[in-house]
Amino acid sequence: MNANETKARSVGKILITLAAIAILLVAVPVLLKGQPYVFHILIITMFNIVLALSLGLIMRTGQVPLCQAAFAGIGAYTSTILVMKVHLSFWVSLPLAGIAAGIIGFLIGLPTLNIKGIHFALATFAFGEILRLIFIGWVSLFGGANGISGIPAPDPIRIPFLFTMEFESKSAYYYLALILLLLALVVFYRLWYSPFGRACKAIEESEALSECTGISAMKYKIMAFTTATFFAGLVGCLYAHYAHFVGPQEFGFWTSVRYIVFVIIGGVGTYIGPIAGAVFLTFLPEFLRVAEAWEVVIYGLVLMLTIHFFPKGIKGLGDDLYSRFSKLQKGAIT
Amino acid sequence: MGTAIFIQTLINGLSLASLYILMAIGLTYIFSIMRIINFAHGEILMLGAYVSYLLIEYYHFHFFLSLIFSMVVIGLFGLFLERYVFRPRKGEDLNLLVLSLGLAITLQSSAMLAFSPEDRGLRPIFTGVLNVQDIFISKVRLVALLAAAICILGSQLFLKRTKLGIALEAVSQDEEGASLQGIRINRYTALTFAIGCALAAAAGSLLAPIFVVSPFMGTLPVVKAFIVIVLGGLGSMIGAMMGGLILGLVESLTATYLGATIQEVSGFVLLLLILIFKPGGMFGERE
Repeated sequence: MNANETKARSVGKILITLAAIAILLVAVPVLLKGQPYVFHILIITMFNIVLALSLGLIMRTGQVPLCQAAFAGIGAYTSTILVMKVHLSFWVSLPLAGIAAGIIGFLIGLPTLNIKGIHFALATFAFGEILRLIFIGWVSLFGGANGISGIPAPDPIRIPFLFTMEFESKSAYYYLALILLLLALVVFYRLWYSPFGRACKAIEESEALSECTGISAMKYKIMAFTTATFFAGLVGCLYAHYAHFVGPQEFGFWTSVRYIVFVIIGGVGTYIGPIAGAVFLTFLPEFLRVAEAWEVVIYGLVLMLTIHFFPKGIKGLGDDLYSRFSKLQKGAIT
Repeated sequence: MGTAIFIQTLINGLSLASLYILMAIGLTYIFSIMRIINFAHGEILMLGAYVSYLLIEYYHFHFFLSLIFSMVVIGLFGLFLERYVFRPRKGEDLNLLVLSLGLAITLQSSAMLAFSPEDRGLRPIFTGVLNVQDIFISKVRLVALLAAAICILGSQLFLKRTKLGIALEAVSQDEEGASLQGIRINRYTALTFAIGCALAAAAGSLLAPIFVVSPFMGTLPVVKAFIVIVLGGLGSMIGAMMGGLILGLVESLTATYLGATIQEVSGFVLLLLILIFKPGGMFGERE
């Protein structure tokens, strides 16, 4: 591939990205006006993509945490308490929610991230469950098992003479979620294809070897973990103000496992995998609605069949199809 | 009165512990060959409980007969699962994790369709309490304790004293080495999986008369069993037993003396402490 071709491809990539952003910004809200349920699904999908992306980064270092939902929970409860009890504005509490989750992520990461393999998964599982029990047990602060309802919507954005954005309809939340999604896409893309991302991969492949070449495994793991938990906190915060409710059950162990499944079904160790997995598995139940009572049964079966036939996930399947397609094309030419 | 309550608490703790140990040993069997934690283990337990329940309620089987029957049926089901679900992806840890989760979801929701999501109570068997010098022990818990103890002892004798069991251990230690000795790996991994499932079925059948049978009955025990195997050290049978014993006793003691909320948290605090200070568990292999 010569330089011109590379340049043309990267220009093409940028154009495609811009077009996609334009469609998401303008076309989707216009087309879907008056269909709140579709908006709802899109918003949830975007939340899930951000969570899956953040997990993807941690899993690139070879660690599998079973507590990502707990960090979303920290963000959700932090913002809820700051807005409802301290009467801060949502726009102040949003970054604080992310920072709170990030700080706790950092503190949890310090003692646990040097634990390896399945033991790390179980340590984070323990942390997540303890946190959930604290949410349930500390009734005066966290509202106990019933959670906290009536969380206010974000304060409206008013830019004089230009526009006012009130958070009454789904489309306002759609834009908010979209901004978070774009931010996460850019941040994780930059991290993924950077010396940082390559160091993470090196650690995953061999921690000892990467330490020998001067990569402090612990430093990179903590950085990845803290970044990921920060984003999980942001998602949790947005979710709480979107649903107007937080409860401890949404942030338990099984939710965390669901996010892990997004990444694995999409394809571990790839940037695009978690995105594909999150989209596929958020839309899947909607398509399975027609199966009514069998919905969940089929969902479980789809998980198993996907792994059975496509062990490298959706990304692996895509690569496979792509290489076959290009082979076919070459065959046609010669 | 104080000592009587204490002894009663201990016995309750032991009966709790024996069920945890059954689950944990089953998980350990499966872990020793698959190197994964089987998320579907709780659903296997639930199926075992349903088999027992149906046999007792509709076919009027004797409790112990239904227990054995359930172990056999679920053990065969385990053979099937190993062959067609897990073996094709053996060695791919993350994929196995998704498979076991998918299996858990499928089994639980199928059970909801087949048996309805309602709780079902088994008709009372082994009613009444034993009264030994003001220490009251419910008979059904005692039966569960004894039956679980027999299963645990049986599985350990099998593992240590029979040729089959020694071969199993060899496979779990070093597959290549074992296959060089003429041990057929696939057969033994299947057998191990079946034993793990049968032990879960036993735990389910023993839980059925104490609590209720429902499609969701497996989710809590499996979480407890996770804690147990981490406490004891992943992959260690003695560890699973000691871990189960400690968790059962700690839970029962905290429930009596400190209240139910602390009881729920106690297991996780134990787990976090052991992971920070001795990540390999009490009897685990050093990583």
